[in-house]
Amino acid sequence: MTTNFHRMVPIRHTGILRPLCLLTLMGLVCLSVLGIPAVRTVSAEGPLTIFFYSSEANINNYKALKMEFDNYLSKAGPYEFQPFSDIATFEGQIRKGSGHLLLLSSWHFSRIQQDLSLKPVMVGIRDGEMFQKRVLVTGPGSGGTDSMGSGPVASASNVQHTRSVLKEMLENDQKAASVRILTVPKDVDALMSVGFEMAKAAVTTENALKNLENLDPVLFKRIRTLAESRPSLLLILAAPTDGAAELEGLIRSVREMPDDPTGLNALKMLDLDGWKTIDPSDTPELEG
Amino acid sequence: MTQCTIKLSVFTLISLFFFSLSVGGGQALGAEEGPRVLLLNSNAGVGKYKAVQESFAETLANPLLNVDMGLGEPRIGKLRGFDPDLIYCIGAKAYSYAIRNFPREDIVFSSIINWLRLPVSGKTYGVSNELPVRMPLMMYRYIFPEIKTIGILYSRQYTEEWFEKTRAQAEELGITVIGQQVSKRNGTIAALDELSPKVEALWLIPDPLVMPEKESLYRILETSDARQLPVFSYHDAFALFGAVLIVSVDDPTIGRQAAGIAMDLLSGKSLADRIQFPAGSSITLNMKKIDAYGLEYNKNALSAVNNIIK
Repeated sequence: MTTNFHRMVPIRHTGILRPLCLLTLMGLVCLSVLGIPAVRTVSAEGPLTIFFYSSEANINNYKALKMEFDNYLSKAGPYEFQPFSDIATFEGQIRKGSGHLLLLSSWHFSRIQQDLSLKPVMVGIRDGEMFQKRVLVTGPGSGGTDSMGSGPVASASNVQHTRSVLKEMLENDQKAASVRILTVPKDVDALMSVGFEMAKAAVTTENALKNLENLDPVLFKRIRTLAESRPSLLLILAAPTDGAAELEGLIRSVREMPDDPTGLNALKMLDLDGWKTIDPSDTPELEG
Repeated sequence: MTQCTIKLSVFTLISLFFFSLSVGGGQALGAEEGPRVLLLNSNAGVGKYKAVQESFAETLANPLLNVDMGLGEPRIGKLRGFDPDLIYCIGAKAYSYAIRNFPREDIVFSSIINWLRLPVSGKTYGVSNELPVRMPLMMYRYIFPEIKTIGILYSRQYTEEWFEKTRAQAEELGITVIGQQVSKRNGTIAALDELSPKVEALWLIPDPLVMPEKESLYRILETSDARQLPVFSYHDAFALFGAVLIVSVDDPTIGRQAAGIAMDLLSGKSLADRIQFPAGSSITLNMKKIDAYGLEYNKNALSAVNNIIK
């Protein structure tokens, strides 16, 4: 008590501080009534987040991607975007709670759907299409799939996904498992690697090949397609089975991305231009 | 009885300690089997070199001795004691040291600007630091499809041959490349004055006569900026000074590629191409300048962009 009293003495003698203290006190009261509870709710539970990891594209523009998504999402509510470069950290983060959506490849989704109790919400679309095919291509003078063991196969997907696609396309588990994979940043890099013989072959998308045809018809003519995969869905937006109610607002914001210039730019960075709600008829594609 | 128990516990603990040591040692030995690789890094403090080193080490499973030459030139006796089967050199300083001191071992290099200026032996392999010229041309076309005429400042001494090849390749992609020769050390801005009215963008290349010092770079960028002439270039840092589009090499890919070459050599494979182009590219787009100059760009190309400056 005494100590408190002595501490108060200087304040009582400093005239200018008294109104200041009163003002601060009133301000704090107002804040506690008006603003603080809302702020506290968000900071205690954290903003609702979209976790992103793509096994199908060696995306390394995380900073730009986060900036663009956050710019768009923050306009709609306490939402944020969190990309991951590492699959284990991504999956570890999913296990920690249910206040998030996930953006991941359909291949990855079908592998973890049951284990992590996830449900698909929407699928990305590009030029009105929600499916894509992978292709195995090779350069001039290649001996086809037989010569594949003598050099690397370039791919912008992670090694695990590339081997899985190769397994399907080559119908030869041993070859798919033994071939050396050279991970490159983009599909166009994989195609250039074949064109300039840094790689014997490349796993890329049909869309990237079509793009090359427009950009460099000369190089395109030198590239030969050896095999193609079954169609697979583009990126999937998924939610925990027990988390959808609180995530409705965030799902709505994601759905409306193509209608907003910032949202559309963010989608374009993922090579998408819209979303489609998942139909039950799409489900077999997600059962891997 | 108690004393006996204590003795038994101490004995058990000591036994467990030695057992764990032997298991640990065995595992370490197992992981370090195979041909040995000596990694010489010209300066591990340089971010680009560090990124290359990390991806190389992640890809290669062989025993590896890392040496940072940024701390000074290492004593050769110590390195020979490691008895390496292959030397991997990051940067010119490391390569020059290796070629002097390891004449019998295979040497793989990377991250050297213009490697052709350095001596090579029959045991030299590597990844060049220059992308195939089609790559930047293709990205220019992809991101700025409206830009059809690009200017290049070059010198007869250093880049004339490269310029002629580039012009021919650009034609195939529907881009007209117009060159302006710089013939003396202080002639860059005069050449730029001559060139800029004829072109829609400037492609800045690493020519020592065009850019003999940092000041020249700043002056080129300032002059181009005043004329709202977009500058395309090869080094990420230039974007911070106003370049619009940078197409550079992707350093982690270089490390993976070099590791692939090392694995092939160590397993006795013969390589068709001793020096490879880098297989990965990194794209930086300066949106501030795009907005300031009112440039049209292809939004569908954004998925190929690694860094956006806003």
